Amino acid sequence: MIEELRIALSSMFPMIIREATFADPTLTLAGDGWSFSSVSAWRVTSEGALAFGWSDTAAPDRIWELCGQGIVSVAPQSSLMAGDPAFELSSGQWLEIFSDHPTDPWSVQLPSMTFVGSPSDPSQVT
Amino acid sequence: MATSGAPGLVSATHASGATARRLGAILAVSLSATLALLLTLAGIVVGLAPAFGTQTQPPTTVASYSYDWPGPLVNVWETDGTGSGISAPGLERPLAVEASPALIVGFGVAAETATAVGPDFIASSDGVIVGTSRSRMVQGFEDAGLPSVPTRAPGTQYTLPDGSLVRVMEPSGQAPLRASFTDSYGNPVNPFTGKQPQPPPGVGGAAWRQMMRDLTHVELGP
Repeated sequence: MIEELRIALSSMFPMIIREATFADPTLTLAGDGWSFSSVSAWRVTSEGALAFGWSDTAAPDRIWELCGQGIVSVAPQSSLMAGDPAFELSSGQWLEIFSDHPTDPWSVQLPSMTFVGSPSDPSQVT
Repeated sequence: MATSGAPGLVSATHASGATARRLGAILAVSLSATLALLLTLAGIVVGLAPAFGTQTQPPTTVASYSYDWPGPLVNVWETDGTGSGISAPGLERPLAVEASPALIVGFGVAAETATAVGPDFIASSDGVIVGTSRSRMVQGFEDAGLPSVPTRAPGTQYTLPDGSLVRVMEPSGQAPLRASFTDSYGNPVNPFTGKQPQPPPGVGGAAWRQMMRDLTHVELGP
């Protein structure tokens, strides 16, 4: 799934983040011709350390820090369960998604395809 | 087969058959009234069950529902002359069910014979109806010429005239066949309001996330 997502997004990199909001539990990122939505746990890391995450009381404000950055790559968030995305940002930070429920934990809207996380389906996490 | 529904919605199992099928009996239950209603029904059933033993439904019974709450089966039927309503075994007349601007749960009233299926549709008080049949939902979208794109995981996403989206998602792992309602960004929305649900006071964490899923998804049947 994430490799297919990477291929689908590759021609769009860097995907400039024009909008970023977090209204617990919904994280929204959007740019020209794409949007990302997640109701799953997430965190932003910087140089391998936690910067902030969804449990941070300041998360609704801090998520604005992503505005203007570009998404420059996507990779599986974990090698243990490869069905969630981690987005590399132009600042060098990473936005990681951690789905913990089988039903629509995240989605990426593209003009011709919508990717929907399905972490409990073995056929969708490879 | 009991189906899970959103908080405030009453989930039901009803008997379905070829005869006497009539759609449109509306059981109106507000969010606030639902709890009171269920508690009332629970009290009635618990209180009456010993007295009535085997339930005997009147000859005009056209539907039977079991409610998704922890308690014994409550039969619901429609009676001639009084329209649709909720009755408990032995009651002379249906319980009063007050309509409200909140939520209405609609059931396709059906027949005497019996294949357990879920509710045929769910409706709001202002007439918004969400079907629970995948084939009818998809047929409706396609008949209306709504633009669609495929999804991955498997499914199809339809764009409604207001720009909101409905994803008809195939079963995938633990996720059931379902309709997922979102805004144009993919953020979950309540199909009856078109808006992202807001947490009730004091509800948060996992409970709120589950409630949100329930409010923004409809499990579909065939």
